Amino acid sequence: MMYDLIVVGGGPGGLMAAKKAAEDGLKVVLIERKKNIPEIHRYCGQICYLRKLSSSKAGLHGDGYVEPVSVEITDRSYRFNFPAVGFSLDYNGPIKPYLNWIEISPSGYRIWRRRDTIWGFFYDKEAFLAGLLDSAQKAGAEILPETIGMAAENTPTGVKVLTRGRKGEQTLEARKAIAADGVSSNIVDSLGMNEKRRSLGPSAKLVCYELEGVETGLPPFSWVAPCIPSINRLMVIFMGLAAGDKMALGSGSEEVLQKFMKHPKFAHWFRNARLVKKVAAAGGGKYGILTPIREPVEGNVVIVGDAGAPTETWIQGALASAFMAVNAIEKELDGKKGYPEYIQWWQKAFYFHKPDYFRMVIGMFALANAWASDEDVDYVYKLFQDRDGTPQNIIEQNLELIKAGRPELYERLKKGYEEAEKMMARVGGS
Amino acid sequence: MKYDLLVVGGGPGGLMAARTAAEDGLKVLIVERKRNPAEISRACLQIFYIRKYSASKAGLHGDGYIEPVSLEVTDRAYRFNFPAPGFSIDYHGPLKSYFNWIEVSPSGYRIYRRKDMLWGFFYDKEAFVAELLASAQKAGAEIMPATMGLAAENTPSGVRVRVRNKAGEQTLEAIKAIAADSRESNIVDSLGLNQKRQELTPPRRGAGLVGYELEGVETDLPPCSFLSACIPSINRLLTIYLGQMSGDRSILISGAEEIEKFMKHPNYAPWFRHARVMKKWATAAGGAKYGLLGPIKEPVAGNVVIVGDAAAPIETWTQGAVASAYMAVKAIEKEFDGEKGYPEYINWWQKAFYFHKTDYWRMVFGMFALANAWASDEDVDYVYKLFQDKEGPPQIVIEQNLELIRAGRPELYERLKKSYEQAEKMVPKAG
Repeated sequence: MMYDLIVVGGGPGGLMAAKKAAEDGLKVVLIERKKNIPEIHRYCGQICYLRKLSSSKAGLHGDGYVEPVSVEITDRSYRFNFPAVGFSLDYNGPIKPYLNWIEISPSGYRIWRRRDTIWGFFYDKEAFLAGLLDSAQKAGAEILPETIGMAAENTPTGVKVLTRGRKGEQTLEARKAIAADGVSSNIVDSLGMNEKRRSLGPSAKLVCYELEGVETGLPPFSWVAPCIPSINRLMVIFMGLAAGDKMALGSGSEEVLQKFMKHPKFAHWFRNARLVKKVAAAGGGKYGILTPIREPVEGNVVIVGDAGAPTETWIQGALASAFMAVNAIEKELDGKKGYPEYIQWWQKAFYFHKPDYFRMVIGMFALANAWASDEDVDYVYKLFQDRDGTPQNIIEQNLELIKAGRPELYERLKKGYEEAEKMMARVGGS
Repeated sequence: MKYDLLVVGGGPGGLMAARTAAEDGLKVLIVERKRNPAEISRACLQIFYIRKYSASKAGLHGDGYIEPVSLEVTDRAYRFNFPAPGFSIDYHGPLKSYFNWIEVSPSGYRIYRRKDMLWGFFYDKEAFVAELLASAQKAGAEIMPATMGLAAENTPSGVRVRVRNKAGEQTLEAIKAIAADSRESNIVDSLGLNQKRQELTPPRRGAGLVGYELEGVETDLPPCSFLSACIPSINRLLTIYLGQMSGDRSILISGAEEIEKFMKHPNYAPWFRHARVMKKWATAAGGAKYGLLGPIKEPVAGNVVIVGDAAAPIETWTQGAVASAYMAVKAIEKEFDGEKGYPEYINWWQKAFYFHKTDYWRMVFGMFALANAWASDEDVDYVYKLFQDKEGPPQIVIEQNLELIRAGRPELYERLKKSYEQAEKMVPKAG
């Protein structure tokens, strides 16, 4: 049984690839580890980012996939538009706009990363994936749930994918394959593509509580990011929207979440809160954070989404790369050159290929390391209270203002930023 | 000096007509009464409606223009899309989402006209109109501000429009004209088009609509809510509306007296304890020549095409104004090319607006019926408490559940029933 295309992974990228390939008439099989494919086990912010700003204004988030996207609110459904690659997806679940992104100090001083502008939408990822799965199946894609993609091997005429399902191991054959199996991709690993990637650091764990009855007193539709060195350093605490009236509170460990919920300045937010759901995400896996795959094609296998990236490509990036990968594969099946175009697109469509991106990551680490106490953060956030921008940039650009009042903190921050620059030189930008 | 197209009125419809025509290469002049066309002098809730429903679910509002529209949020701008006529308008001003539409009784019982769903947006109409004006001018449209269109007269080769400004009266000539001068349109009246329209209500006396822009309003409503209040001791036909504006500001619209009374009402006064009035709007008090007139069925008279409110019984909304302006220009361009453009425009006009449908009038008269049936604030409280937290327009919720009122309030039940029956009788008259 020979397929035109095997898709490994049934997340947004894999489902999009299967849907598009099946719609274009290819014989497709999709294999996915989970039994119920749309079900989300890992924590996910479920944000469709819209406003992408230059790195100096935006900070990291939302800048994975840098081509423009739009959300269209119509009479009957919501539509996610990808004008650069040329497709749209309808979605019928709930959405909520994100209007603010507030960085907050231990005593509650605020810096506004985004204020009073729609920078993204919360949406229900399970509903979204269910829609994609349904249209992939309707288009004729074969779906094999509870099946793990173990390894891929190129052959002279195609590709063999070793899978393990409930009936044991099995080898599937196809002319082409797409690896959409996420951050610790077995397929990428089996093809030896991780050997050339450099490590950027250990991967972070993530725990998230879904809470009902949180009362922050902050403007509605805000993403809130408290910076409290006495509780946590590198892994930020964040609170965003969840389904219904719920809020999602996340960080690196439950201990951090517990401490935050008992913090004298924030405990009142949670006075009437009820924990509805707990979600953990196993981050990174075997290799930690790896630099991006520069050329995400190996023989007859094309890599899409997180499987080829150092960080989350976001749903947008997963969908767009899947669409582009299928386009490339269709060209190759027609005897034309499709891969070079895909590789080129991949290198320009994601922020993590740009030196600026690493400057942001490392700058964030530098800042996190420079704080000696909660009082440090309060002092600086009070100084820049209600400014618009990303804390690491505001602070870097106004470092001199800290010098007079806190010479010692100034020196620490300055050193932090200098070290970040040195790290930049070492990582080499990409 | 002869123009291809003369547009009377520089609101959303007029500016959209001028922009479209100028972009397509016509020589266009807009005549506008105001000195600054972008300034909004009438009270307006400034809502861009997205969700339109069947009459039984929606009620009146948002259902003027019934073709689908969408709001697209992009990286750099908001875009109002009109897929049916086929155009888009970019907008860079503020935008606020509306998720709820809550109808409240005097004591605060709530019926949800819409609940927890994105049904529309507040947008800043001045910013929107300013952008439209800029793009019309950029495309080459000329504008004559502080000038009133008085009358139009068809000639064998075009149209003459008499206008008045500080310099006195003058006559402008063009091959075609668009009347976008809104309700009580001078152009429509001068062409005799009002004579065939049915007067559905007598002219309204006294003050018109008044709007307050407020800072510091503190309601106990969920965020992103739009509110309408039904308090018979304060207001009957004129609803009290409370919506959101940019920043933390709110907009309160009703009659002048209604607003003052609402802000002092024992149950609602706490909302306004710290409120400050930042701006007031007032529509011209009294003096309306006609009451509510039925729609113009065929909004074309010789070389003049009517768009937006000028041909409608009720607000066509910004959507309906810009869509009809766009369609009117496309019709005129066809006529210029020697093709038949008018029949298409008339056809489109008759199907793109809810007020051509019988259902619409059932809603209007149902609303009137209800307003007339309330004898006291207590009546409304009783019924709203009975249907507390139900979803739907009150007039429909009540009509469908009339029997539930009978046991507790037989007299109120009879009054409501009679009102609904009277409303039913009025429907054919309007249809």
